[in-house]
Amino acid sequence: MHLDIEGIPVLFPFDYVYPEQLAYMRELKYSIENRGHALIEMPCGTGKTVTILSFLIAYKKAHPASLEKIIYCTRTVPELTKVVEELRDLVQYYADNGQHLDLLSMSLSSRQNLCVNPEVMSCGGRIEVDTECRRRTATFARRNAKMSPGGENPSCSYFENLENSTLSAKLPRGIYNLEDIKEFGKEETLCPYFMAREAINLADIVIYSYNYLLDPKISSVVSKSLPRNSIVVFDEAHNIDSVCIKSLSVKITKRTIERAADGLEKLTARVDEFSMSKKEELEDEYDRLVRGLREARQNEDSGLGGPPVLPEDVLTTAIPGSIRKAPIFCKWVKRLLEYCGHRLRIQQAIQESPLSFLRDIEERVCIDRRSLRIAGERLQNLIITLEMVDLTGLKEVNDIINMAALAATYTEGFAILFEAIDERGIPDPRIQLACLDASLVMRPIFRKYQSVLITSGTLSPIEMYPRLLDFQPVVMTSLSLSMARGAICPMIVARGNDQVSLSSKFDEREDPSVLRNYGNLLVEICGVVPDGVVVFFTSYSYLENVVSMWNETGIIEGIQKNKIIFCESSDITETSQALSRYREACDEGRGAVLLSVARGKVSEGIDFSGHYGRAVLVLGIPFIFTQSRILRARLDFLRTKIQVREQEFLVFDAMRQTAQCLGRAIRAKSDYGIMLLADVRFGTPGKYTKLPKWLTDSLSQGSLSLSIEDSIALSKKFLRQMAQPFPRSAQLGISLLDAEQAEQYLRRIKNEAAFAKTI
Amino acid sequence: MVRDRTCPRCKTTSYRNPSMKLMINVCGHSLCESCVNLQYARGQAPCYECALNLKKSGFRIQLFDDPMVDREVHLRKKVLKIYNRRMQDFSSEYDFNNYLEQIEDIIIGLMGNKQWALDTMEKYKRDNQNDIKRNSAKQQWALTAIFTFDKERATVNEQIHLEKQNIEDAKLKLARAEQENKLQRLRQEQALLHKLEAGEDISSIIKFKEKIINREDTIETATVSFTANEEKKTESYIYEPIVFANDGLDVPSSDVLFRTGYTGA
Repeated sequence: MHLDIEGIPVLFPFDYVYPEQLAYMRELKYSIENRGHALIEMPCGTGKTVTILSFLIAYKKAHPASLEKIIYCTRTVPELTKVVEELRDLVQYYADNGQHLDLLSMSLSSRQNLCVNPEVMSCGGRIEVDTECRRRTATFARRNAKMSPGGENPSCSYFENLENSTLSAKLPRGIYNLEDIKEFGKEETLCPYFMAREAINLADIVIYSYNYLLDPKISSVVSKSLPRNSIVVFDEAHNIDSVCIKSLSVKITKRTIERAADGLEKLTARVDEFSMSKKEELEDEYDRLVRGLREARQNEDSGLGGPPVLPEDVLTTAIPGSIRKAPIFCKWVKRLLEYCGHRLRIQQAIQESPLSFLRDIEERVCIDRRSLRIAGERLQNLIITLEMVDLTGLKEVNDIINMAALAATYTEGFAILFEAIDERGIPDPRIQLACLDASLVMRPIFRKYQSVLITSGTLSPIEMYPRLLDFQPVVMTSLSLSMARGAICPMIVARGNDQVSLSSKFDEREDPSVLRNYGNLLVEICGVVPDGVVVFFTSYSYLENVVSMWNETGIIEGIQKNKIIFCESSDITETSQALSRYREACDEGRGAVLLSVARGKVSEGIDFSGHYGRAVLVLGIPFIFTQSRILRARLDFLRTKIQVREQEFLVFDAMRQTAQCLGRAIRAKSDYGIMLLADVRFGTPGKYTKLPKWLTDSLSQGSLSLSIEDSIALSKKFLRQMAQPFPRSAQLGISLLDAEQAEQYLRRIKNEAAFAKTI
Repeated sequence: MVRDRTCPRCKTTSYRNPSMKLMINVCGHSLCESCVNLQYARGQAPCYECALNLKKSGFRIQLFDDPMVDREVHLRKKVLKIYNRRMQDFSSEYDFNNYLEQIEDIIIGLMGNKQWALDTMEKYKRDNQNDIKRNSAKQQWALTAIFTFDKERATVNEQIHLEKQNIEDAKLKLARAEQENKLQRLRQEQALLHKLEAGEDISSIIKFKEKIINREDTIETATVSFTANEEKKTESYIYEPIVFANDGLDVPSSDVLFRTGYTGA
């Protein structure tokens, strides 16, 4: 249908539109026009992707100068494929309506997903594929192959072909999914991976996953020439601060050091080899370093990724004299490794700031800050000069150097933790450089790109994000779910039938009456709800405890009378097995129960639409494991720098996780589900107000503190109501709008907004 | 590197004796503590591996797994005490880098016990005695005093001290704020109890309680700024040196003090 969003003609590929989608487009328009960032929360299952894509394409068509590129970042590769398919349908719809869009859309993933060379593909894991690819595509390898074809350096015909042709001429414009790129590559004998990397600069729409933009090591190689007047969309971005933090954190264990030592031995041996046979290469490199020439080697990819620090913090001075000669540099690395080995022998846990870490390094092994910052580049240079292809062991060396470089560059926002045992009490000494400040990574992105959109179904409490990521959004809204019939039934179950408060508080975890009540709740729900029920526990250990207790008291048998039980475990193959069987059981008729964990794989990505998820039960509040030292360091940092109290942050994190779990059940407008929050603490205003708007709208004051009986009664009533036939005509005008009603709705909210401004 | 360390004489490993300490001497060979005590009971003995005559006092505890690295670090520290110029002392980065390379060459020479290295070092020490003393005094002074307004050139030690101070200040401020909150809450609860005792109207009591709950929220958010790092620009303090009249000589400036060697260290 044709929509007109305040002057922009938008072609929407469906006959009906939801009011939230219209509101979303309006907000998006506002943020683009004001060249600012947006934080929009839209309920799950309301077609976010198609809304964003259709509006952005329409805007690009109407104002091509102000929006050059659309950069769409997704969390996982399956999500990436979904987005590309939606885009393809959209472009098809445009074509059917007589408007031909001349767009090039490119997606990018790792070599493992894109390579078509059969020799390389057969190698197995990601690292092996990367190594084999480098063996054929590194500059020196190609030089050797040209000089002595058929020798020890094989060449990749796909890559050679690509180097000799101009991509823009050969690549027809269109929508390319990962499979499409591979097909095209196979047909034309062009390397799909490098083609995609190059095509990103030519494409109008770029679709890839978060770390291609956020992780400095990767983005400096892949995304450095994206133009400023683009819009960056982060989809499903509720966990974006954890992604940012992970990309700047490094962990070093005994194994890392052992492997690094092996890698260093290889490197030293190679240096010795070269100093006998190929002296000129080393001397050449030395001369270049003396003169401070850096440009020549910048464009070569050594295979270890770019510098781990943000682009503006990369040191651009010449390489210091203390690490210029190759054998001296190897000794320098050895000193650094010995230092790390020495520190790993600690017996107790220590937390240090980067500055005291640097001072200790300087005192013990006389390595100064400047050389730490540049060492990464020196290593890259050396690897390229020595023509090394096999990088096993050198990756670990690079990790250690990266950690030291990060500590040397950033004095604030990082903590270095030394631990001797891990969470379960097993001795595992390690050094962890933990980034505490998520805004470090996001800041350059907010500064560089004109508009950044962070969107998800569960961004509440939404005010935390500008504080955590340190930016000023021009738009910060939470859209509610328009429903013609109350399709969600959220309830907070606070006590059992014996008036015992239900809670997953640490002290009450072992309390048998609480566990018994949880069991009763589950048994009753299984008796009332048809099809699938998903249960979320706060942690794996809690799940195991509870299930074993239930087994002893006969609750498991009670559940099994009505439904089959499946359980998620920490092993991924077991979980996917359990999941597929669960779906089978739901299809059969009687349904099943899936016991999973709130921070596990199920809650992060699996959809339980329709009959697969008729009821979602969250047992307890899924607080993060509070004894972890990294979390303590982060909470300290947040408290001192951003004035976010510990409790505030923990509650924010727990509520966001809960909302994610609850959002699993609703994937479409015609879907309905029961959402039970089984903890007395959910009923306090400090907690339930932090749930997303689309949940709290349906949460009535009376359902804040129910007993098990009441909740079952309400569920029965709800299910009977939902089972009534619900024709589309009943939704029309309220939650589903056709073209006229859409126009009316838009006019109405425009007037409301104008009126609100005049007050 | 993290493999078991073995004593060459008694062959015990760190696995069998976790508290075993290796000691290393000037020639770079290591021995475990008990073997040192046994063999060097007379104070002097040949090294177990290279037969060089060594003194017991020359032994120090080995920190690193590889004795070569340990020896190198020891030598490096000695060299750096003599070659202690910093980047600020050079006119260009190029010169500084060449100086650094010189140091590395000397260290390699010393590791191989080359005479030319020892000679060069002695010569440098004699020629630059004053400079060496001055630099080491400056660096000692920098360790204790924290006067630097140019963060880029501040050494690591100075920044650490500043950092500690900042953390302490922030902690104090927060502790104070927390206490304030607690007191407020107590006061409000007291007020509520008073109201109940006085037998006031139920609806007004409920309203009062709601006010308390809501006010708690506002207290929580009051200490929070919506924008994380707002720096308030106030007028910066301009230093005006104190002028006091004295009838004698002027106080010498810090440059003069260093040049002539008077620092009281």
